[in-house]
Amino acid sequence: MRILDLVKPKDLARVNNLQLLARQVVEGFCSGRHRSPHKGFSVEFKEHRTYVRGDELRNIDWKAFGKSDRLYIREYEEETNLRCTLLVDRSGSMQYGGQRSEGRTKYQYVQQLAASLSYLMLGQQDGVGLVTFDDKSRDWLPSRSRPSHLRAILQSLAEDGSKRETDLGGVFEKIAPKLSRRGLLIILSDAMGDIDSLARSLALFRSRKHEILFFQVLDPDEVDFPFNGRIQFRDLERSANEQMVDAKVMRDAYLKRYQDHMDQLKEVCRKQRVDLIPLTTDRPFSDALHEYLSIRRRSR
Amino acid sequence: MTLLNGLLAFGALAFTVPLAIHLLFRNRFQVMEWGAMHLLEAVVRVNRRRLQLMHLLLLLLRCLIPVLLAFCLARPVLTGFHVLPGDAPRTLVIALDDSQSMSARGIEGRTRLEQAKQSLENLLGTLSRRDEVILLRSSQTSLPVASSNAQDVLDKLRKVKADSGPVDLGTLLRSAVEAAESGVYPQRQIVVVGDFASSTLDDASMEALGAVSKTLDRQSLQPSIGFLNLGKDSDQLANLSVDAIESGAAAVIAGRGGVFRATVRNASDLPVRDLRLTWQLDGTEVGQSILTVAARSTTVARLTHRIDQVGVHLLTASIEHADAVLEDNRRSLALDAIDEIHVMLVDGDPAQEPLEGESDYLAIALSPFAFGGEDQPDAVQTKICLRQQLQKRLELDSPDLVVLANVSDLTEQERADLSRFVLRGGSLVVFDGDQVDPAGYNSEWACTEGVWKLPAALGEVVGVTTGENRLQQPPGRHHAIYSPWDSLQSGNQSLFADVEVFAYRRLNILRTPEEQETAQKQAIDSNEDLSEREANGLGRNRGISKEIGGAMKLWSLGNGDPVAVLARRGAGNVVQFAIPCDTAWASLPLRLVFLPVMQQLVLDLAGNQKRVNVNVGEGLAVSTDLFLSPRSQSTTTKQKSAMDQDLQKDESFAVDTERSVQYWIQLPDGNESAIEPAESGAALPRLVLPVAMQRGVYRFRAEIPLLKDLPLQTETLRLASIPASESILRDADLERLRIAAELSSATVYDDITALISDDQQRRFGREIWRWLLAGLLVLLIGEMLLQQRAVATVSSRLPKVEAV
Repeated sequence: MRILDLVKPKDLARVNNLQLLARQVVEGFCSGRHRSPHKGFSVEFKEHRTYVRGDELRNIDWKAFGKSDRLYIREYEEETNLRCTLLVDRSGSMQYGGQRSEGRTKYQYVQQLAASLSYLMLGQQDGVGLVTFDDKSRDWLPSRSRPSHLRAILQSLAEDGSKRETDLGGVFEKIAPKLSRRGLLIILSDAMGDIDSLARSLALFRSRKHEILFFQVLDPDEVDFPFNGRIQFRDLERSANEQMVDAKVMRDAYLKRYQDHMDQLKEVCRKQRVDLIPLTTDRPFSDALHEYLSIRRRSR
Repeated sequence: MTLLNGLLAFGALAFTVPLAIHLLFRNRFQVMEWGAMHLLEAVVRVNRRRLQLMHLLLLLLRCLIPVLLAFCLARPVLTGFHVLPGDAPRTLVIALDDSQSMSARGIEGRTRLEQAKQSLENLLGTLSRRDEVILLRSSQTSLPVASSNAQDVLDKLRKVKADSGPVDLGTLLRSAVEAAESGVYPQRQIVVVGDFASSTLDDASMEALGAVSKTLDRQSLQPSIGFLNLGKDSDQLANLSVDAIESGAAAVIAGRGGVFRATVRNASDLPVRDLRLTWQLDGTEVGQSILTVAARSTTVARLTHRIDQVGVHLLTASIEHADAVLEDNRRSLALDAIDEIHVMLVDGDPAQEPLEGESDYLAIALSPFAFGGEDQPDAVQTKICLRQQLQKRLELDSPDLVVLANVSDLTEQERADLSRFVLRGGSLVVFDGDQVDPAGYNSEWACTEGVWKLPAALGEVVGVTTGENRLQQPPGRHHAIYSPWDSLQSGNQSLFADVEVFAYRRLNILRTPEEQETAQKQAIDSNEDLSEREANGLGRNRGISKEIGGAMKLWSLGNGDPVAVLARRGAGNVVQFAIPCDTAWASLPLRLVFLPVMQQLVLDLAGNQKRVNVNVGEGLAVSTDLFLSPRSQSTTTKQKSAMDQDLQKDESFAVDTERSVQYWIQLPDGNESAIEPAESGAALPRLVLPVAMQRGVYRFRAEIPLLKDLPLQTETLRLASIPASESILRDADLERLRIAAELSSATVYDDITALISDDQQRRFGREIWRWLLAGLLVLLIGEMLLQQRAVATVSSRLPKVEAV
């Protein structure tokens, strides 16, 4: 599979122009475009400062001393690469695609978004890893910064979604111990599950110093419930679960329930300092991504 | 229950439409693979049972809506499991109160009669052409009823005026029931329309209603009865009325001044000042009074006036005031001004010395001016004669009144002459005494024209008549029912309080039916119901009770024994005294009260033989001798003399004259018609109008072609008035009205719409389409609300999500 099978060339070009900047500096194995708080052995000069007792002699700028007869210490900015792991939900609920998203399921949308992100970050020589899951983790690709790692990621993403249930909390709790190093976690899911367990797992991630981006991907139908008449809703995760509903009667109740769910999720994310980005599948994911990065840049 | 548009009821099958839609859509649904079942499942789980119930309820409502709509259009009628008459023809009896109180104007300016006409017009508008309608006016209940159709009754209604006297609801309803019985159709309805004033529902009326109720119970085809009460605002109506005109004397003597009183009543809450009351005699103004009438009180206006001409005159008092009833602002009184009264005193114990004769005191009392030598004329001219002269003087003098004073006994012939005298309208006064032989007096007084007895049989003498040890009998009192003596009484003291009676003859009033029957069987009935004589006006009838044929006590002692009794015999009256008219047994002649008492009695007995004032609804009777007799009271003395001479020339000529006379009666509305004299036993033929239905003056006229040049009276008048009680605008007590309605199985209505509605219901059943329509609207609104509530309920019953 090639990247172009998943991402349109136009979208890929736009993604390529974006710079994904981590809000927090993480340690990397190689220098990248991310700034480091540690000043020292780096190629990009930052500033001079006056020597004080205790500074290492090797950091003294002798050329400056020769010119000014004063001791200055040279300071550099260190750049390091990002270690990112994509957590992609491939449960049954992600298989829904409504008419307004032109039949594109949430999982397909997530596939494209994850591929774009992987391409972007590998292009920046950041490490990208991938975990797909439903009620438990399915594929696990550790974070690598090699360009050839993209192929492995795409192959894993290209697999069809499952029909299993979602268990975000349970899965994340199992994943968390395996992500020993701090990094950026990007969750791509519809968050259709128990918010309480999700909150606990996010707290667990945060305790391990991970920065978390939560792309909540929903179909527009799930947001405004535009149905009318009698509809038998069949659960995509449990085929035996069917609900006969007068959609018109249920709309307000559903929307209220949805709003409560969203409020709860936002509250959880706010408490855990998780950036929650709600997306609907009728929007180009590149637009949503660009919007998010713009917000991140402004907030820096 | 029946349906007026039964076919439309099949529209109820339209309930199958929502049912079919429900069943159809129940199996038609869309299947959708859904991802966010996590959200939807919670909503559905919480509301599943409630939604199912609501869906069922909605289905029920939606099925009921076409059912109700169809039943509305089908016009269901509740019949209560009875067979209803429907539009079968019926007999409707309208009993209309046309009394004067119906002319009271309400706050809106319309009279009650106008309201009644409008209401009845609405009622008649609901009738079909086949229906029979009988209009019965309260003033014409005695007339035979005539059935007609609605249009004719409408025409009659437009001519009805509120000018009759008080209504007796019992009588009116009884007449209506009788009229309904004569109806053609088995479906009968009686509607009594009136203001149901308090006087309408007096005790007598309630008793009559009870009798009507029994009559109704016996009827196989009972009419439905409704009372339409139009008098509900009487308390708010202010009315000023001339309630009465009275004369100070029992009789009006031509040429002598008289005092007349008009009573003006203010029934409003505000006093009326500067009220102008105008007196008119025969249409000519004779005086004015400016009155102030306090709120809720009466004021009396007085007029002193002399009537010069003998005859019937019309005295009218009118006030100028805008009030609820304009008709009672004017009241008239017919005054029969008479010439002097001729009294013949038959002295049974004459004496040469002054005041020693049996009738001396009485002669002085009746003609005081003549006794005193004064120039003023006496109203009464007395002639004293002995018993032996009785027959001769009776024939020659033709007295108006004969007094037997202590006359021992009378011969058969004398009794026959006196009997004829009384039966023809003369009055007889019998005073007792020590010479009186009871046996002769107690026997029958027979003549060729009839037989009668004295009002009371003479019994034994009670008390000691002479000597020092005679004891005074318990003091007596006069009976208020005899009104001529009322004006003589001052304060609470009895009229005869200071009269000492030492002895009297026990008078046994005829009580047994046989005696009464004997007393009455030959008595000439005057065709005048004495119960109707308690009206206003002059004349002896004012004081006579209902005891026609019997006797009425005028004066009784403390032990109840009568001292004076009065009874009507034929066209005349007989008064018996248990004491003499001298001072032998009692001190009456010595008391001041003797003169006025005797004057009033004589004036009342002989002063007026004609009944010139009647109430509307009563009968009128005018004797033909008024027109032909030379002793006509309407002629002057000179004229009478001339007529005497002329008529006595040829008796047959007079008979021929009687045959050629034609009589006419002119009603208050101006219509004049011929009237035939009616024979009434021994008395002279009379012109009789059975019922004076209209208020006003009735003029009787005689055309005497052969005696054109003679100064005979050819015209007289009678006045029909409405009692003052009609001016008292007081609604009947609602509880009493309810009882009256219960007694007569009637329903009381305040407006004709309710009556018509009830009638429609009774005939066709109760239409309930309005209720169904209301139910339909409720269902529609309920369906809408339930649908909205279903949504709202689902939303509100979601589990609360707590923030983490």
